[in-house]
Amino acid sequence: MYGWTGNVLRVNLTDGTFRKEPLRVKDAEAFIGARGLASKYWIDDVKDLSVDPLSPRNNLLFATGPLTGTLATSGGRYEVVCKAPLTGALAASNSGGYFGPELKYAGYDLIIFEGKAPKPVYLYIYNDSVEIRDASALWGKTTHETTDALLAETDPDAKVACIGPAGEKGVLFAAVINDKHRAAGRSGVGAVMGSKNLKAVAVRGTKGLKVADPAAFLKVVGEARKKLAANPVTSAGLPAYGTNVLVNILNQAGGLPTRNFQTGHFEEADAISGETLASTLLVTKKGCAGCTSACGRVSKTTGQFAGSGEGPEYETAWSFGADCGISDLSAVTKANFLCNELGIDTITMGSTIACAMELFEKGILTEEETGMDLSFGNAAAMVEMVKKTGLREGFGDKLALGSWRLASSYGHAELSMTAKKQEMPAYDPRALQGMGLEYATSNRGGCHVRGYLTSPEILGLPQKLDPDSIEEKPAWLKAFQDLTASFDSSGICLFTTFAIGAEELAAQMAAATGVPYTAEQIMKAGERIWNLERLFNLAVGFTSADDTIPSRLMKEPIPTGPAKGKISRLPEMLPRYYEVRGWDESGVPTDAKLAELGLARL
Amino acid sequence: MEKVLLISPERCIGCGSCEMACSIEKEGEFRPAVSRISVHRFEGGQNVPMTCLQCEDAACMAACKTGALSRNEDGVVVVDKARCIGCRMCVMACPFGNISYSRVTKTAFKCDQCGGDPECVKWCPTKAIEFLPADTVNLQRKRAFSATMAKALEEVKG
Amino acid sequence: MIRVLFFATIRNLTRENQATVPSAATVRDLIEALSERYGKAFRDEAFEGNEVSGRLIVMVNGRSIAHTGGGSTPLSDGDTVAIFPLVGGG
Repeated sequence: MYGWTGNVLRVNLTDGTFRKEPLRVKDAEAFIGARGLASKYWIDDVKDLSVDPLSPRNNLLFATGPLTGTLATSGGRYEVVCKAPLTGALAASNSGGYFGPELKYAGYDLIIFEGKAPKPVYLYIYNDSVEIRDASALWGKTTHETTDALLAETDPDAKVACIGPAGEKGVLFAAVINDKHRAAGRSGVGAVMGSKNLKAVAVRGTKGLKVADPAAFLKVVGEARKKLAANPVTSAGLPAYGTNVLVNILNQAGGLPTRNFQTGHFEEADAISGETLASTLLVTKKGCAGCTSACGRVSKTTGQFAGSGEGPEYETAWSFGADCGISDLSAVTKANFLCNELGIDTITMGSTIACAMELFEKGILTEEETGMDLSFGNAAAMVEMVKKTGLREGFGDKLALGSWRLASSYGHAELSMTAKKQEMPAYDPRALQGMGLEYATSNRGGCHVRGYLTSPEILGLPQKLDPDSIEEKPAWLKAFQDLTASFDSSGICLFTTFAIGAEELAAQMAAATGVPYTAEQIMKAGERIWNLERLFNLAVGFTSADDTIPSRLMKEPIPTGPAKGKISRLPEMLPRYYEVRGWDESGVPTDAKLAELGLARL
Repeated sequence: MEKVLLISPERCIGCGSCEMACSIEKEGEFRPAVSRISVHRFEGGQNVPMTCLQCEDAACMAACKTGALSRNEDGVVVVDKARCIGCRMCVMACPFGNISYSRVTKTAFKCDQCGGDPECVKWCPTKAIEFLPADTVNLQRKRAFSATMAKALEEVKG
Repeated sequence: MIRVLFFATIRNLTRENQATVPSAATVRDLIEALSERYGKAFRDEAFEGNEVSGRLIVMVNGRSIAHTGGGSTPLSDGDTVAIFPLVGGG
């Protein structure tokens, strides 16, 4: 096989056994890889979609794409897929770094973990050699300590994906951290790993990856790279400032959610921006495998919040910064470092603290319960809460359930800024109509990245759309969601889409795999993957009533800033979205649509 | 014109494109493990590409007892597979680890600058690896630093 | 008085984060005045021929000029104009 290795490793943690099996080629061609293919595998293997996400029957997959580990544009990505503890939807969390390519070089497309180990274990793969090893000595250690210990115990060039204390203790938004600083962050995939007593996966791969037509592949990659080099975002903005450059842009547009989405403008935004990061805490930039943009930030803090590591990204600077009313970049960065070490999703963490801060300021939560003054702006308290959440100590034990369960337990679910129980990231739907529709309809809950209309609405790429308009947003969102699903499934980084699209992905896929993908087929595959995820959600009980965002965003106009007075017009966009998707008025894919995509109801 | 490989680690972002470019060219597959150039990533964010720098006083050549290692007319130290007996003394001798042994061909292998058009140079996104004329290879560094001097002089003048 | 805010690489060209301009009828007039103040490097970045460059994101009171008439967008006393290069993230 080309692109794909053709091999899947299936590990039964209950029995302590494993076997290698051939890749399901038809599914690989139809669902591409990574996100799409692993979702299909999960559904076909587990069958009973009602399984409890923290039960042994929830399969956990580490899934690469056919382009992962090749010279494809930014071809370093992989996905962690399972049923999500935070939401009950399908989780597919994407990550970069170097772990994904190493898994391909070892000779595997996917690893599937079934069951639960009787005691803590880790998996060590060295090409064809696979061992389930005892991890009792590692249980309780941070992701950094774990990675260092495993590199010493296995191979200094191995790549490690692991959980920290948060995943072990079932924090519902625990992350899987690979290469110490990269996260498969959202939806609680780390908690699923912890529930299986699986501490880490260490991989060393020294084999090679073949592509179907090397000369053609290098040619299309070279052409695509030229586009990346000519695009200001991928060639200048991202390398110089990282994703955090968005803080000021969103703030100037009045769409930077502040103090738990109470408003869209943060007076001190510049203090937590990419510009400030570049001139203060930034040590250097860093790129994932095969990436020419190097948007990664190596950073260091000193003083009260001393630490070192990578980040913060935009969503993190927002969640610990503006969303918590905090302007201390060192504190924000320290919180980011802690999340990487403890293994926690920064978006849900910051947003959950922000929710707690609003509950506190409204007197619904007391200092007696929280153990500290949890007012907006209290940087030291925020950092402390991150630590407590990762270890599930004190009030952190409640934060560990996410903002929806926290706020609901006090009878104020409306103060949880979530969609389908997953916290919405850093774009106020009242200032960016398209992002409101994305949050409401994204299959995994509050997610920005799978339908990133911020790109046309604010950055003007690929075209300038008015953030206030609603007519064209449903059609645009479908296109973005479908294209993103394909990119996420191929193994290349989504950020390349600032400069390239379905054409360039199809060309790379065709030359790599030998399967003659066209741009149209790439979009269709993406639509297929999107509908598969939707079918899963419908089968486990989600309805169109769940395709919504907090009422604050539809009823309370933004009180301050450049977007003052605006609300989200989601109810006007949703029916049209169902229409363009080929779904009925309840948001259910029609028989005709499913036939077109070759899908069966679940 | 004699050209040399110039490596500037401060520009390296650790992407590993060089490893993939080298291995697809030399081995027909993406296989960093057998790339003639490798990237070493450090905790503090430094990344260092390492490959043969064609030493004038090559330790590998001195250690080779069969004459399998020689310098070609471009100044590049190359392996004659027919003469190589796979003893790996060259691997021991190179102080930098820049020559390796293949269990497949059972001979030593190293960077040969792709016959004068190095692939790693073509694919490096940040010019951390460059192929420059030998007599002016560090002129750009001198020029870059002199620009800082010029700026300082301008400020002093007021 | 019109307040102008500079971000990202634009700050490298202006060497300051913000400035004020007494008045300008349109965004194009404002950019022209700023080019006079900051010099050729700024002008090259800010203009594409006679038009405000498409490689800039310019907002007047939070609204992108792409939706309000580009360089012809009128300005009034008290307006805030934000100028960004094309950047991105996620």
